[in-house]
Amino acid sequence: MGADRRRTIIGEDFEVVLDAARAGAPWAFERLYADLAPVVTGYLRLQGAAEPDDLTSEVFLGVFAGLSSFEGTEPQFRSWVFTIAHRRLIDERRRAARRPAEPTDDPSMLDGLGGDAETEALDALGLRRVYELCATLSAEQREVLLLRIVGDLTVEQVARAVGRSVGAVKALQRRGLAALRKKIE
Amino acid sequence: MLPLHLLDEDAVEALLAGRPVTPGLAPLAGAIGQIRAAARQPVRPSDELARRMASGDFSGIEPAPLTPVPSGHRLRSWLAGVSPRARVVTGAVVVFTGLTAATAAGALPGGAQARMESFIESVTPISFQRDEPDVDRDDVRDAPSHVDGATAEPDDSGRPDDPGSPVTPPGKPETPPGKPETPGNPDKPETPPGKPETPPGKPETPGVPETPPIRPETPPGQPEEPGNSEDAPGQAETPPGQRETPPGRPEAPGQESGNGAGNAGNGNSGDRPHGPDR
Repeated sequence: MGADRRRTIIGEDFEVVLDAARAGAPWAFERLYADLAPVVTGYLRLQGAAEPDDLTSEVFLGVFAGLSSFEGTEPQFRSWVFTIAHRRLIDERRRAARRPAEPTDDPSMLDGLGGDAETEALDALGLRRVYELCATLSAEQREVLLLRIVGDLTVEQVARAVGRSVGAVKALQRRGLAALRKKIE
Repeated sequence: MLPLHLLDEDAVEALLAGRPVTPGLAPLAGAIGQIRAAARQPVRPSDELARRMASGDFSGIEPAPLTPVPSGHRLRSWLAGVSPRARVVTGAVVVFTGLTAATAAGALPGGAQARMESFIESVTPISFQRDEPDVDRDDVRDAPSHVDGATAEPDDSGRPDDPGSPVTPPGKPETPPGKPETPGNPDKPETPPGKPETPPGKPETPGVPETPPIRPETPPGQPEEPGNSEDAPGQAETPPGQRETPPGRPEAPGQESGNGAGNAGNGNSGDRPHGPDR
């Protein structure tokens, strides 16, 4: 199964961590959060969320509150978390009353990245480049590619998360990659 | 740049999973690596989340659903994301489709039904013809009625051509005795051999049993007019033996059908509707 080949960070300890989180152990919550919160925030940011950090916290509040009903492997947990993040993003867009969801090129978005000046500058350059790349994609292509690249989800998991067919997801990621190539070369 | 078709599924999967790719795809792989790296910035939890994580208490928080979003939610999400113009167009299409379906089902109230039918017929190829057969039936009934008196021969066949009988279908008497189409079998021209009225040429044309021999007498332009029954009798007074298609005008029925589809249709539909009626 493709999902089991996906990247795992917690690995074999996942079951233990999950059980501990269900039992309310703070260390287990922190472990799960540290594993997935950065990529969830990155996904939401590149998707143009207005407050990606706050939205990430909302996502994990819901995820941790629903842990008792979750059964599965780490990749499945990852897929579930990104599915929730995607839905929260859609809800936020709806609440924002049609605010454009395009990723911004505004340099102010790159403020507050922390670290020393050189690292910050490199990060800023990298982020700017990434924003430019994402801006070349359509909303659907960006949604699919970010879930695959950042979320590390399989095609099937992305299809379930965004409510599209597997074939549609494949077509979107293919066209998205073609658009990226065109932008690069 | 490599053409799109060279980006096969394996290459796509390798790129998205961060596996090694061919040198031609290296720039694209680098861009994907940049995207992946950019999405790994540490993030601090909100105060509420930090507090709840520390306490392990998430009571009062709505748990994230495990099941996929219902399609209705997805539709609402889609509607929320499209432009107002697209919403209006979508709504108009839905309303028009629904009204068309209701009109086709005849579910609208009388006046609205008629207006919608005419509107739909004017803007779409759809046509509502459910009333037309009735018109044909009426026409047929009218047309034969004026030759009623002329067709005395059907009496010979024992048909209930009794003019006084209200049950007698006006069309029956006109039915050429040679083609006593059974009401239910208009396609069966069971021409009784003994019928003298049957024109000599008629039996060979079983395929046109509907063509009443009376038609020739009826002026082509007036077959449907009941008021012409005054004239028709004049023609119908033709001796019974001549009442049917005169030998000199055998093609008259054909002409009639050529005169107008209404006549031919009358003959056809006249026989059929009458069958069930009687």
